[in-house]
This record gives sequence, C-alpha cells and structure tokens, in this order.
Amino acid sequence: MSRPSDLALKTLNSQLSEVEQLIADKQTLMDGEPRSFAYELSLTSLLSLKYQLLKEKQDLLGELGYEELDVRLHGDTVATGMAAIKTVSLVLTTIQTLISEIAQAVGKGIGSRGKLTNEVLDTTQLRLHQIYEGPVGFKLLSPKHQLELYPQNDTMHESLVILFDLLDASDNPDVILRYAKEIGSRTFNTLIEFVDTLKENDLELTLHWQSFYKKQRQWAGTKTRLTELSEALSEIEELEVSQEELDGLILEASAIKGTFKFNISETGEIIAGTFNEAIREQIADVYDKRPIKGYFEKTVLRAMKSQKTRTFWVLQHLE
Amino acid sequence: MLEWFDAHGNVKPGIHEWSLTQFAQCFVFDQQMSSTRQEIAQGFLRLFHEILDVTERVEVLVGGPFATQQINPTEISLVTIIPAQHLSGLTAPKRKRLAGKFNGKETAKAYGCNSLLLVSYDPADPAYQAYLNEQKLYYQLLMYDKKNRPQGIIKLTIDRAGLESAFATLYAGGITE
Repeated sequence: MSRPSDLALKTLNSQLSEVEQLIADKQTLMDGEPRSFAYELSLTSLLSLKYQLLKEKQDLLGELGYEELDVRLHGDTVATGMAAIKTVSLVLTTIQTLISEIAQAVGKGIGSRGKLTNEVLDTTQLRLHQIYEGPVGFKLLSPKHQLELYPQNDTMHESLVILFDLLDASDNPDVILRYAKEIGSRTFNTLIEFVDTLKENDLELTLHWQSFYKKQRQWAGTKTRLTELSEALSEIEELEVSQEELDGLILEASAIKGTFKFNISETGEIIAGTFNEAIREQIADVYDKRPIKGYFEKTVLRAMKSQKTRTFWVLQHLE
Repeated sequence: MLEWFDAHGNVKPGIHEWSLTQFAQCFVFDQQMSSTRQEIAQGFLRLFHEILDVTERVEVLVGGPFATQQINPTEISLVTIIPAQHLSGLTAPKRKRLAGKFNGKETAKAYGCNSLLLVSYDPADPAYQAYLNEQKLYYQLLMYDKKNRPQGIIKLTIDRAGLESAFATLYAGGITE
C-alpha cells in the first residue's frame, strides 16, 4: 500500500503535467492573438497555479531545488576516457564564467568592465556533483534555491535560458543580435572564447540542462556546429550608437521585465526596448496616460553575412 | 447547518449553488468562535468590489479550508469565472484594476483569497477546448482537501447588491477599500 505522501506526490505530479499543458495551449493561442487581455490574465492565473503546485511539491519533498547541468566531452583527446586537467578546468571555468556574466548582465545591466558582484557569484556558482566515465562528463548543480513565481525572475534559470538560446543560434542571426546587446560585449567575447577553446582542443561537447522548473534543454556542440556558431558570433558589428529625444506615449510597460513599448508622436512608429531601473516608478505613473518626452540611447547592430540589423532602445529618463 | 457537512467538516461532495446570504451565514456569521473568518470575509469583499468595478456579475467556485468547518482557516480558495467578452476592449485603468486579482497565493497576501481565474468561451471560439480542459482541472483541484478527502464546491453568483445585502453586518462595520 502506498504512503499518503506517495499518493499526494502522484496527484501533484499529475496536476503539474496538466497545468503545464494548459500553459502551453494558452501560449499557442496567444501567438495568434498576442494583445488579448483575457489570454494574458488567464495565463498569469495558470502560472500562479503552477507555482503553487511546485511549491506544494517542494514542501512535500522537504527540499529546495537546483538546476542540473550535464557536461559531456567527446573527441580524440578524450577518447580513452581520460581528459587533461588543464582542458577540463578550462572548459568548466569558461562555462561558469559565462553563466555568471550573463546573470550579471541580466540582473544588473550590461557592464563590459567591473567585477562580478558577490550576489551574482553566490546565486550562480556551480558545484561539481558527479563525474561520468566514457564519455568524460560532469554533473554540475546550481546553488539550491527557492522557486520564483516567474522563472524569468530566477537569475540562474534565466541565464541558462539565454546561454542555450545563444548556443542554438548558429543559424539564427536574429537571436544573436537580440542577445548581443542584452548581455554586453564582455560576455559575448567569453562565449566566443568558449567556442574557440573547444575547437582548439579538438573537442565536441554535449550540454544537457534539467531545470528546477521542469524545463529540459540539450545542445550538441559538434565540430560543424561549433564552426557555424563561431562564424555567426564573430560577424556581429555595431553600426550606430546615438542619443535620441522623442515625444510620444508609453503604450506598454512591464515592471518585472523592465521593458516598454513607445509610440512616437511625430512618425506614429512604435518602438520597444528596456528602461533604466531608476525610472521604474515614473513609468508606472505615466504609462498609457499622458505624452512624455523620452531620452533614449539607440544602438544598431548588424549581422554582416545576412545584413540583418537590430535596433535597441534604452529609455534612460523621461519628462 | 450541520446537514451540509460530512464527518471531516467538509461540505458534502458535489457542486452546490448557494446564495451569497447562505454562504455568508454558513461560513462567517454562524462561526462565531473563529478569529480569522471575518477578516478573510473583509478581504473577499474588497477583492470583489474591485473585480465588480470591471464586470458587473461573476460566477465563483469556492473551496479550500474556508469552505469547511475549520475554526480558523487562513485563506479562501476561489476560482472566478469571467466570460471572455467581458474582458475585451477594457480601458487601461480597468485592466490595471484586474491585474493581481487572480495570482493565487500572491493575491492571498493582499486579500486573504487564493484567487484564480477561469475565462469562459463560447463553443465557436478557438479557445473553447482549452477552456473546458482548464475548467476540468480547477474542479478537480477544488473537489479534494489537502488530505485528498472529497470536498464539495460552492458555486456563487456575485454582484455588488448581493454582496452588500449578504454581508450587511460587515458593511455596517466598514469595508476598507
């Protein structure tokens, strides 16, 4: 006979699967009607329910959660089931640096210089949990932490989402352009170094991520993909950086994501971007109410091969 | 009142359409030993005052510890049902008024109501099947207590006049908005 907690766990798991399916269904509906308030409100409710069920599960298991990252190395240099310590440490250290730098850029704004903060190091420091034999590999765990209502507020989780998005983006300059500005040049260069390290050491690498939030992603860094990624990353160039003063109305603003949509009065054009933390309260006061004068930093990046460009707007202050 | 409950103090299984007066009487005014029920009811009234500013009438499914004979429950579990057409074309201030009202435990911190939302759709709408699936899950969640024992669901239709009449005593003491 099963224990009551087994039954409770089984019930919770089944409810979690159902709510995840409902969230996926809702997101599909939203793709066809992105501005539907009914979908947005309903999705928020479902996400709250998912969080509640995950929290109940966590309480039942009496555990905090963590992100699991499996790193497997392949190639002639590790074919005997052994790997040089220097190579292993270089690969693992670069993965750690990448995740921490992305976390710092996501949480604290882009900084091409400056030390990683203690807060970022504490929340992103990976631990070696297990070593695999043939192919050589490692299971790494994030620090244990509480669930966040919205996974995008979880720095470690969000950093891994961005890392995997970038690794998967060798044939998608749009994604690389989008993140190039968000994560900043320092992190971007670390990613290029990471790819180069693997290539120089004649290694291929598989990354598998199992998230605390039940998400799984895998990336197979074969030689072909590493070459493609290296080329895709190296061809991003900065076309223009300028300061702009624009009159208009803030149409949408998300305090959680720090994003906005702004309708320029003169041209009717709608631009989207991020705003500085310091003006969060001001935005809440004026959003959808009255026209403002906004002071923006405009950056245009271009992928040289495809000639695709992307413009980034940062609302720095407003009147 | 006792005939509504089973041996565990849960409302007997099933979906029971109650009037607001019956609900207020059973779970607030007849439970005078409770030190939490009136405060939760105040939160419930504040929550629905704000929701009813946007849509005049709603259906609500009620479950959780408040809808039992538990003396001092900590919150009330609610699923509010709003037809999709009531949510289209809302002005920004009205959308803002509804934001945060259906965020489960987060809403409970402000209103004592673990409040979720079910948006209903007509059969011709592309979202209809998703709505039915969602409805099924919410019913399943409300029809058992934390120990997995069956619990009845109370179904209410709420409008402002009904609230004011059913909770007249609380209104006399003042409702903080």
